[in-house]
Amino acid sequence: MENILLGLNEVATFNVLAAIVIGALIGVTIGSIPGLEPAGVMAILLPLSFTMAPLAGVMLLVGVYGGAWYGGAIPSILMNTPGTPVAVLTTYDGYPMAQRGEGKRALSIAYTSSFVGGMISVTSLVLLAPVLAKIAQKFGSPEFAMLALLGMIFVVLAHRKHVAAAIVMLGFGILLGSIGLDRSFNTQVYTFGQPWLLGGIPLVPAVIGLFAMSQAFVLLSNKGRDSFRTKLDEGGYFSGVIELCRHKMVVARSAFLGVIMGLLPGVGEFGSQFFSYTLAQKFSKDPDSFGKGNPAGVIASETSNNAVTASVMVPLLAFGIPTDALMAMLLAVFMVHNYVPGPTLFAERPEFISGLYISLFVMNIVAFFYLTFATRWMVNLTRISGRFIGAVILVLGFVGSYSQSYRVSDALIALFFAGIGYVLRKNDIPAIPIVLGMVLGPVFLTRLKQSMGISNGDLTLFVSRPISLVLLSITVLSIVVYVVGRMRARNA
Amino acid sequence: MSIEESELARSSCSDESDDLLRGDKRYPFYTVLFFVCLVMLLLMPEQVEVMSDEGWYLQPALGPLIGLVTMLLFSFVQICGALLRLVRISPSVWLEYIYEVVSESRVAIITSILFYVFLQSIDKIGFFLSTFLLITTLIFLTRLLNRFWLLMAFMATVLIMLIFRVAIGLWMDDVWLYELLPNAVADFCNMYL
Repeated sequence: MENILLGLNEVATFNVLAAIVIGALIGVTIGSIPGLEPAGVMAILLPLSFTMAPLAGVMLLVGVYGGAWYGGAIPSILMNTPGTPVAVLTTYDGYPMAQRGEGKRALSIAYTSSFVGGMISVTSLVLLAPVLAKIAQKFGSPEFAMLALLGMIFVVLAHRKHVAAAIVMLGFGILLGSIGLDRSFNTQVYTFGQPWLLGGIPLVPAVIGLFAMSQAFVLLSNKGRDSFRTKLDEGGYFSGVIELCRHKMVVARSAFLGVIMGLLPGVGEFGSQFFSYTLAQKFSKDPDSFGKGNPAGVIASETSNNAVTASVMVPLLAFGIPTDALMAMLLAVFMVHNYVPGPTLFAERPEFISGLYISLFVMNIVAFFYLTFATRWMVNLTRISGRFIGAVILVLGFVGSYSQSYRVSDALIALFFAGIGYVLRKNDIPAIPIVLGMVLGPVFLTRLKQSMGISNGDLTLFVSRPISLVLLSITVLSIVVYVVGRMRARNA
Repeated sequence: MSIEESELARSSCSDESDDLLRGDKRYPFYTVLFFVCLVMLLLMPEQVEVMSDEGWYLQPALGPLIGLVTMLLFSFVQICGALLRLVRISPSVWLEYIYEVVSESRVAIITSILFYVFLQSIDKIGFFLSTFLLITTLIFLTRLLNRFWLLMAFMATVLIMLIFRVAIGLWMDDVWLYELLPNAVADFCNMYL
């Protein structure tokens, strides 16, 4: 109770409330514009969040992250174009519903499902994070090294069709994370004598280049139609509540899957969405109607998407291990404010943790009500040309990369990574492992060096400690399962 | 070998090059990456000091070594079947391919150059003017420029100024152009534009 009051005290400040509302509004808005991804916008806002109070900074980014999944439903349903990549399956049934003149009903179902999924996700965070943080108290360097390794392997394996490409990009990230001055021996590592590389490759410009500016290049290269006119039919906005009551099992199953998938590094929204949709179809009395405008399809897709948004923060808060690029950005905000995620954060900053939980609930409420009442105006955002958005993103990319250290060289680094990001996008190669390699690589190496220092280079240390052994076993097992699965698929 | 046979062989060889370079577009990417990693690994003794008194696990080279070897091995995995054939492709075919890739990515390349010019122009003509010029040039080059989008570009620039320079107070170097203005105006411009 005391913690809740402390949390309320943290949230009830103008800065935090403004960050929640602005973050959620930006998120919902960008989600409703096809082609604009939350990762890019979060990257641009990242340096701005460093200047804010810790909770306000985190909530600004989380608001964008969570809000975007809400807003992504608008173009998916009205234009058959996913606003965010994870809203793909919403198009399957949402668009046919809109074509039947049930656009508002489909939107209402999507918003309500997202809201329920989001609330369940925050509840899971509240329940799970402290328990896991207690377990994390038993962790030493070998366990953290193995956890970082597990995180990297999971992220790689999550790119099912591009595992080899993801490994290459992870290696690239680890290399980038190693560049600079090695502080243990005060020696330079791959700096090529360039003083500006002594501090290493800065994460923020790299992320802005990879996700935001490369996206601008793609938008500017668009030759076809990149703006849409949409019309909204008449109908009630609260019909979704009734529809959700009719499909309680679909809601429960999809939310559960979303929460579980959010806990697994790299699996996230995509995995949960596909599992939920497939199961909803499998257990439906009318499976043939899926893809033709079955409300259960929209419910499964949207509930599972949003059930991931808070549970994905569990590994970050409990162990300090980010499981995707967006969480890596959040970790950067934590570190700037000297808030080290992990068990100590729960003990030392209970008011921050409680404030975060309350803020996440508030963020979901803001996003839901904003969408419910503002959709009729928001559909007009789809009229903005992608090429124009691309031009503006470039300027924002400059502001984002420059504002952290007031160095134009950081903007040049962002430009370099934009080129890399563009090539990767063109060749369908994932960029997320690069960021995780840059973040988890140094964590893994530092903890590995510490562990090896303790054991004088004896590698059996990792199998002699129970938790480390379990984590290592899960890592090896995941790889074996993947390899066997591939071999079976090849032989079939 | 008759002329026809040799031409047939040449054309089949060029077909094969076409398949390799244009079939799976990732082949050239991984080939370049493979050789870059190889060069980086060869440069390692020069770029990273070896601490002879310390164990392998404390070496500063550990991180880059893991990264580079991973990249080298798995980019090799991607191209292993085709590496010899890729290496055998004549430089002229590679040049032709590079020309094609560059022309396909011309918008990104031009945008990068414009962005670079934008960065260099900020301390000469100011953030406001540079931003407006960049957005206008980009929408002109992408054939979007008309009165409506020009107005939108102006409004977007004003909005960016209001948010970042006025509200947040983003610091920037003094601008050469503003030095030509009276002191009070120059101070105002340096602060907000």
